[in-house]
Amino acid sequence: MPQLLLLLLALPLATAIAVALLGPGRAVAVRWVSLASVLASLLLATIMSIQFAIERAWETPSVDATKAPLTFHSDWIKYQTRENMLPLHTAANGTVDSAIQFYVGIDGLNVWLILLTALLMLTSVLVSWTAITERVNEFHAWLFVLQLGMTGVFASFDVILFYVFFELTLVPLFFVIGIWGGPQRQYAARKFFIYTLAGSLITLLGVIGVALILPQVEQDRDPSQSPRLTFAIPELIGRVDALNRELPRDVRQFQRDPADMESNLKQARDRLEYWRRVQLWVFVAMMCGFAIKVPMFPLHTWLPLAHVEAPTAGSVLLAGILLKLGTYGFLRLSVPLAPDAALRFGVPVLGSLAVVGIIYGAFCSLGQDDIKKLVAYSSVSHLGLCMLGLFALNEVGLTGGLLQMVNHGLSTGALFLLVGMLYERYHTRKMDDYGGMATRLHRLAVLMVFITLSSIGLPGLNGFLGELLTLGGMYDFSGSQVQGTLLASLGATGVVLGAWYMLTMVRQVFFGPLKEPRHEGHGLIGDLNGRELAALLPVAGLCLALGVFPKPFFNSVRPEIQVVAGIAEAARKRADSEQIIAHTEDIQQAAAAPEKK
Amino acid sequence: MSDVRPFLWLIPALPLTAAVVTGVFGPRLLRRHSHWPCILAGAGACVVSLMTFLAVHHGIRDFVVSHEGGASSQEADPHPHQISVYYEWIKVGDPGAGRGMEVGFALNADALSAMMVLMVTFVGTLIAIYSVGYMHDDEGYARFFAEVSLFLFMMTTLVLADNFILLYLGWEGVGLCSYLLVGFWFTKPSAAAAARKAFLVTRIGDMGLLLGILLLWSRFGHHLDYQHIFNHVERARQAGTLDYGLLTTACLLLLCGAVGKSAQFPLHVWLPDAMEGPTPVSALIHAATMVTAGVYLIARCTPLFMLAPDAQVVVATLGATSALLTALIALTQNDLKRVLAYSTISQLGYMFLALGSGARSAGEAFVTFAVLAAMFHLFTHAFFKALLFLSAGSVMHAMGGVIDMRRFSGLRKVLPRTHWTFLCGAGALSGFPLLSGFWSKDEILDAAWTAGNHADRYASWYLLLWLVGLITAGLTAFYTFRAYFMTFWGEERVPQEAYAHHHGHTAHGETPQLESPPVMTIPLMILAIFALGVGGVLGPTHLFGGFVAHTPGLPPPEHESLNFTMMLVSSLVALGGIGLAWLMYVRQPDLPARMARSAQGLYQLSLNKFHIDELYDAFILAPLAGLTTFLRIFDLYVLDGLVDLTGHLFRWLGVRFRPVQNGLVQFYALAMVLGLTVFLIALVSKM
Amino acid sequence: MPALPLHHYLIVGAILFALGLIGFLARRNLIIMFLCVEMMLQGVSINFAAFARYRGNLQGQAFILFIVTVAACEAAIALALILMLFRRHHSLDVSKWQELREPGEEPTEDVEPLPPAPREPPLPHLTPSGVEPEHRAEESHV
Repeated sequence: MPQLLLLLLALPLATAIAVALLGPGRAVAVRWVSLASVLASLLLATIMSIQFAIERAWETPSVDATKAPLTFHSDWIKYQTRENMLPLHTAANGTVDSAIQFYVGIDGLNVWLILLTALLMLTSVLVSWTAITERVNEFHAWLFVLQLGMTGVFASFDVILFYVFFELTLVPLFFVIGIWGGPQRQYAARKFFIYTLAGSLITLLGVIGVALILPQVEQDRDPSQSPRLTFAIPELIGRVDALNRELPRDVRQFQRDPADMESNLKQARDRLEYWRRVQLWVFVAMMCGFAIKVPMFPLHTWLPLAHVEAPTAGSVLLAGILLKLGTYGFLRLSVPLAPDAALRFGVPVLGSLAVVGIIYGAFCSLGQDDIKKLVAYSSVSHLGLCMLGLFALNEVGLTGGLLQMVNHGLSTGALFLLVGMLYERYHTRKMDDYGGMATRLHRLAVLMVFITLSSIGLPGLNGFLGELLTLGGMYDFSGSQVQGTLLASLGATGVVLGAWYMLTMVRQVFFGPLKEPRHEGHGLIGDLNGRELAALLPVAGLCLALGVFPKPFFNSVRPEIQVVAGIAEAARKRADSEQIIAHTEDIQQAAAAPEKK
Repeated sequence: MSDVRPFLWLIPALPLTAAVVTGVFGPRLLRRHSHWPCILAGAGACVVSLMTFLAVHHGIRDFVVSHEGGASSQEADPHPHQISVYYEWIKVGDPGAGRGMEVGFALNADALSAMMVLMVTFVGTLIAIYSVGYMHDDEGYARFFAEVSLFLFMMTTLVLADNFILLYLGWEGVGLCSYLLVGFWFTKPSAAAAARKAFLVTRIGDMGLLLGILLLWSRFGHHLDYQHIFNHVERARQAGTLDYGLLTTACLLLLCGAVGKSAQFPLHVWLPDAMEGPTPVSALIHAATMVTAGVYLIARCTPLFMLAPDAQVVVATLGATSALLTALIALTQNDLKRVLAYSTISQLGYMFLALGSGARSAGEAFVTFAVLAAMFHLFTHAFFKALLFLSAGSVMHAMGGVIDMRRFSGLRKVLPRTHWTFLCGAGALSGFPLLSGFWSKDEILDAAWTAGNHADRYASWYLLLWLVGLITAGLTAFYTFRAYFMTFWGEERVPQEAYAHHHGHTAHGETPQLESPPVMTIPLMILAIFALGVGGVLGPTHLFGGFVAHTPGLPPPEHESLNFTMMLVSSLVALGGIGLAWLMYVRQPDLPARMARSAQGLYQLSLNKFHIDELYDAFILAPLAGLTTFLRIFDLYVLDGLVDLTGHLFRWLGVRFRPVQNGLVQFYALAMVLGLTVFLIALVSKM
Repeated sequence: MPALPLHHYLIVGAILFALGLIGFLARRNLIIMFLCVEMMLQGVSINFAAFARYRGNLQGQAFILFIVTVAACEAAIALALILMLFRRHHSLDVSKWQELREPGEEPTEDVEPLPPAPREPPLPHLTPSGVEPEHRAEESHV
């Protein structure tokens, strides 16, 4: 039933238009229409994810990592729609043989993120119910455009489509921050927009680069092949993997066969060398956009600013979903499309930066007195952990990284919600203004402690599994590129530091003698109401459910994770064998040198 | 009866249910009856624990019978244990093929865990009953029992866990409950601070534990359950491929976790502060159960530690250091609960000393002996320390919340029942001959002595540690009875606060009854009986040792005879300590002050806890705070400044090119023509 | 008739184009600049015609028709514009119009200004006939 996914994409678009047309006067109608729409989206996403999980529970596609080429098999993609959108080349018989496609579907890597998007949209609409009073229809329209973009990125299986949706998310958030944000909103919105746009343009370069150069290299290797251009992710990954395995094999074959011409060997070597360079640049180019989006350590400065200025719904979606676009991009595109570069360049560079980010983000969090900024910096730390897992490039780490994306979406999303609710009551985010709020706001305090525990990785809640698997994956990193054990051990300090800043915040705001900030003209400050609980409880419930019974998650993501891990594993084997070859060549040369004399 | 697997889940599940029920319905529906779910669940879990215990015992008896009966011993297992796997919690990758991670939600009942879980549920239930009286007029009555129930769930999970990850769940879970319960009166800033400190300091250790678990997983066969890891290590040892360095590292990392949880030096600073919590919590969590988790962990990992003698020495040294250091601190503290808190650290140090003394070079049977000594002390300590804390709580309750020993004295007439129970506990703690503490402490000293005479490399070091242990024994007796005499002897003084909540009852002018209600004193008496008798009944008769020695992984023990010389020495030391306390605090009450004056420096050092908190503040926290401030500014101005600088660079470039846009049509046309020319030249030259 | 080779036509076209270009860049009189542009167009047109003849098809010719048509329209509009501009400043000097420069930049000063345009002799006026209409007082809009 591919219609369900299409409906999930069409619904936000239709709602955006409808809501915009309702006009600024009918705020109540706008809110109810939005609520109905997000509930419908959530229902759709839930149906699809449950069905997907059940299917995977019955029958998990098995992956043979030794059998090339590895790719996200087209049969695994459920709710698939694949239509030619922009034909680029028409074959002689009139059929389109290369095109930019509208290719969407659901597989193990994106199913939970799509569900998360729908869930956080619900909370965003609910939390904006009273917080947004001006230009309500515009706000909600932008929110739904954002939903379209986010769902679209996750669901795309065509790189160009991916990029289009990737950029589409920028525009609505720019307006959401720039119009409904805090005092520095314009500066924040501009910085966010330009920073991420600059990065993602380079990403586009990388994506197009690999799609264009791949057929050339293939044809160069085997002139009988006609160059086929494709942008479909599964096909691209499969062909890249095949090429990655064949090029070194060619070199070996020519080396082994003395009858072959020396020029053949040289050509094969040059081709391999060229392809490696292409991969490196493709990886670096894609990294630019994704690393800014994640955000990785030195490129994170737009994040705290954007978070602090954004309205609550914006912060929730920004932290919960938009940052995942970066990590998801690494998982879906960067690693499978450039595995050798990911191993040789990505693991040492991004792995180290991730560790630096974990510690740096934690210390920055510790130094903040604005609660929202504290949570924003904690995102830097948590996503560092996520990246650490992803760049362990083994099954445990990749699963952990993916889980950590969902975890961070849930827990940080909920933290921003809670901070927003606090702000809505007292109109201050300074920690020093608060004290002993637990006596006044019981439910808020309980939920805050609960989410804090999830965020600092208490076993039994979701955060722990993410931490365990990401650190475990890096601990188990088997390549020679980095000392995985060392990185994981350093990353583990995040466990302590995370508890430190979160509990400091909890103690300052919720414990101690009651100290209420001045609040004029708002009447009595009440505890969370039903609407706010409805926004929070599903998130909290999912935190618990994922922590206690994560099996459906692990089962449903396994095949795709195995594919990525298999691709990376192959790259690692290549790197190891080349090291051995280089080493033996060195020895041979050293042995041969005295003879010449 | 011999198969308890169908019921095992009840032990953690009952308290969990109670926690949920109390948490959800407590504040609205149950109100003053919020204790019932907790007590019933605790009692139920205790019954199931007893069944488990009996089942394991049954298995051991079968083994012993068949063993003595002759050859037909295939049936009987020397290490009876029952494992129930409820569901697959984590399964990633392919653990069978040596990569990936698999963790089941599995509970394991063997001799060690059956003993521990029985002790935990029994003491827990008693303390819950006691709390009914202690907490009776507190606002957060329901919250208290919900959190205590949650604690029981976590603690039983920790003890019964069959793998390291589930243990870690319980481990962190009890830490959480400790956090919540220490911060129970969260409006008090000191309580809020203490709660955070307790959580964070233990978390430092937990980080080590997590890394240790990951190390064991990653380098020893990608298993996480005890049995597979131990088997893997054992196989590697037999094949000669065991990496002892890695194993030692793993043990030291596990030790980190144990040190944090059991409040050993240098991570002991959280426990005294944790006394901000309600006293039943101090008794349950910070004396009887949670803090012993570290000891339990190391005992559980004996098969690893006995192969890493270097790690064992560290264990013993840390234990002895903590024991002596905190005993010295306890000498001068004036807060009754803090004295007990330091004494807890000191006694836990004893257990670590025993665990670390189990050097394999002194014979495999000796390893078991040392572990048994530690576990036995853990067992008896749970009773008498819980008793002492509860008695102290009873005093505090009667004194209207005052716990400073300088403000009351001579209470033995005012609080007769509390006085007797406290005395029982104090006697047991100080190792008064034939009471519980005597037997277990004696075994520990015996273990250290044996290690000192038999361990090959570190023998003389162990002898030194034994001496430290002996000195600590004397100090323990002294400070325990110092507290006892200061509280219950001397002239009768009662602080004003004691009468504050008795105003209603004193209408007739009679002296108010300060003694605690029976719901508090009856648990005290039960505990007192255990504190007096449990050591003597189980220790010299080898009932305890004979049971726990059948824990999987422990080498078979030998039947050790009692070491009467050691008993005599430790009795003399204990009696000497008690006598000195009597001399200083009953006979010549001005003596302590004179001694304090004459040894001013030492006295101040002890009173100020050797300034360890201040040292941490100055050398760890202050630099980190500086770093934090630096990074905040660095991030805001340097990193973000660089980003803004990039923006400004382009703006600057743009400004440079502004004059080009001068509005002259012909200038533009010229530029176009020039551009075209360059383009054409490039095109032509390329051809 | 022996046809001239193609490059002759091309050279003529190029010369025309170059002359027009130089004129456009060097002269400052708006009308002359406009005429220079027309000249460049004619140079191009010659190229078109030459190639059309050379290749024997009519595509180039068609282009010329377009160019001529467009040039005619252009001329109408351009001259109208120039007339308007002249009414503003009473000058045809192109450098008088530089208001579209970057804000804040100084205007480019002419180092050798054109001599002032000679004052036109007044046109002869006819005496108006009929009755002078009544002048009404301006109403105040303050």
